[in-house]
Amino acid sequence: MTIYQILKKMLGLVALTAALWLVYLYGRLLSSPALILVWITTSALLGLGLWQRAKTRRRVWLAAYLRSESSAFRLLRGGFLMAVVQVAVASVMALYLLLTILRLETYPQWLALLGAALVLPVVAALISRLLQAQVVPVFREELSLRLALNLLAGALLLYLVWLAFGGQYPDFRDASLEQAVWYAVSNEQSRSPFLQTLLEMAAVFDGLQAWLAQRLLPTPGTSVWQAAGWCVVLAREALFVWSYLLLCSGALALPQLFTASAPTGKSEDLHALL
Amino acid sequence: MLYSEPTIEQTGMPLARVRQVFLALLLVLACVVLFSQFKIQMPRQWSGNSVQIVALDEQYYRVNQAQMAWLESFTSEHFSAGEMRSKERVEQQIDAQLDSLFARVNERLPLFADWYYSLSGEYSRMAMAVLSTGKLVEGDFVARKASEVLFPEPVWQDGLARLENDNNALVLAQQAQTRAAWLSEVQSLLSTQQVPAPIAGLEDTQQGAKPKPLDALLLQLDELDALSSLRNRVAVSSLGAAGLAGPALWRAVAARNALASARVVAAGSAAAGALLCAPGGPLAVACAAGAGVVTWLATDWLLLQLDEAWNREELLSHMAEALEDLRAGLQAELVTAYEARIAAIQSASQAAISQTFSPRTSL
Repeated sequence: MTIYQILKKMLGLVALTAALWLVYLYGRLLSSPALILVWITTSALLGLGLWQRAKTRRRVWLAAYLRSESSAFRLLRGGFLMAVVQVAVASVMALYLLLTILRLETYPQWLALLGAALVLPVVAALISRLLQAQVVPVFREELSLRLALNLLAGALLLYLVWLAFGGQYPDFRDASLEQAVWYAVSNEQSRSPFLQTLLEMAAVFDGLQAWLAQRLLPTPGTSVWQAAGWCVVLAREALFVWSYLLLCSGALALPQLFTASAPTGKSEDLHALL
Repeated sequence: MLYSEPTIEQTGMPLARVRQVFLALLLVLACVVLFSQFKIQMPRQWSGNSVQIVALDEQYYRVNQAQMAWLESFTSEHFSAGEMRSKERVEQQIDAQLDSLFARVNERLPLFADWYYSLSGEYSRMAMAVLSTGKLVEGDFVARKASEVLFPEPVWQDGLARLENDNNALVLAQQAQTRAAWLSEVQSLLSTQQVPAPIAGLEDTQQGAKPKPLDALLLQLDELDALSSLRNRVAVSSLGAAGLAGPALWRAVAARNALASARVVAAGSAAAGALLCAPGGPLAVACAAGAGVVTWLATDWLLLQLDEAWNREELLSHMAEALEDLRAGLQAELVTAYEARIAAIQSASQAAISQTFSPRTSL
């Protein structure tokens, strides 16, 4: 991968982050049709990332277990059904990603996302170079991107959890659960009733989580409930980070749709992985 | 191959390098712009469906702008209608109480007529007329007597005091009822929009959570009650004093010219009585005086009886009419006083409503 290609990818991902930031800034003023368009676009990009991963995984599996001339090979290579499943998953992840972005509160989170966008192509290129001697060329890019995504996901997750740990939260110690949930919900306003409902649902969950954290888990300790509470925070952040990185992955795969052909999946291309 | 490769590098490398530099600059520029804007820009908030929290009777409700406008209009109309009802009820009660009060005065009219057509009444009137001519007494004696007989302190003053108290209580009860009905109706209408109380210390960070204190409106309206009683007392006390009611009544009766004097011949009768003792010698003077007095009294009594027989019914009738006029005047004054007070309450309550719902007091 040349420096020019890396720069192009970095620029593309920065543009993607900037677009998400504009959604963050103006999302609450958008009408429902505009928001649905944003959701569909995000789902398509995220779905592309998921599709690439699923397709590669399937091809490796097919090459490992089936003869390339068998009818099952053709039947199971991945088509409409796989696309439907990936689109469904991508829709949910895109929705979650957009909702989380709309509810981001501090700019360090945006710095982290921008940093990840800049670092991802560089790390993928470095890993690709490191794996040059070990991995077959046809899957080297894919594998290095996947490893880079995993590395960055871990780093981003740690950073976001650390931010969440040190964040400022409203004091719910003297409030009832009803008050805490209402406090969280009442701050959500949006032009689109569809988005309003989603934001309120997310706020309910946040209010509940904050209230439980302050009322039932007031002091650090070894409580199972406290561990469960942090697991929820971790899971939410992980889902957000993973959705964002998959979106980046989809954005990186976008030019390949128009230029390079995907791996054929034939056994001669894949024998090194078997 | 060896010849062509350097040629490709010579033409391709500078172009690729320019592209790289251009992309790198673009990337740096984009990152700098984003980095600087991340700190400055805040998400735009939608304020099209802004909501307001209202506090009422220790309950909190979330209302939007349209509902708030409706609530203001409903509140204004409700209290106006309540004050109209209050006026009607006060008028009805004043009418009923004056009926009762004047019925008792009517019952005393024959007592006044008895005194009026009695010798003591006749001579006390004459004596007072003489004293009045000599500036020894002031005022109309008959009028004072009318006050004393027809409007005795316990009956008249107690009746007026009861009327004042009852009407003040009625106005207060009507106001309280109007407030209670408003509270109940608003609570019922907003029941689906009830929300939890804002968290202490977090009101400023919660959108629309600085509650609009409709409780304060109720308190303001409560304070109007005290004002209401005070002003009503002043209005009534200046109106129906017993000392004023009697002369007013008597002036009305006198204006009807009901009192025809039939007793001017009494002096002539006394002179005729004195002639009876003319042959009496030394005792004639005493006899003449006694006979004159007796004759005078007898004649006067007789004439009074005649006067009563001829004019009593007419006097009573005129007094009843005058009493009716007095009642109508008193009723008009009382109704005007209470209406003015209710109008003042209405004006103050509308001002309080307007101030409460003013945009300046909202977020």
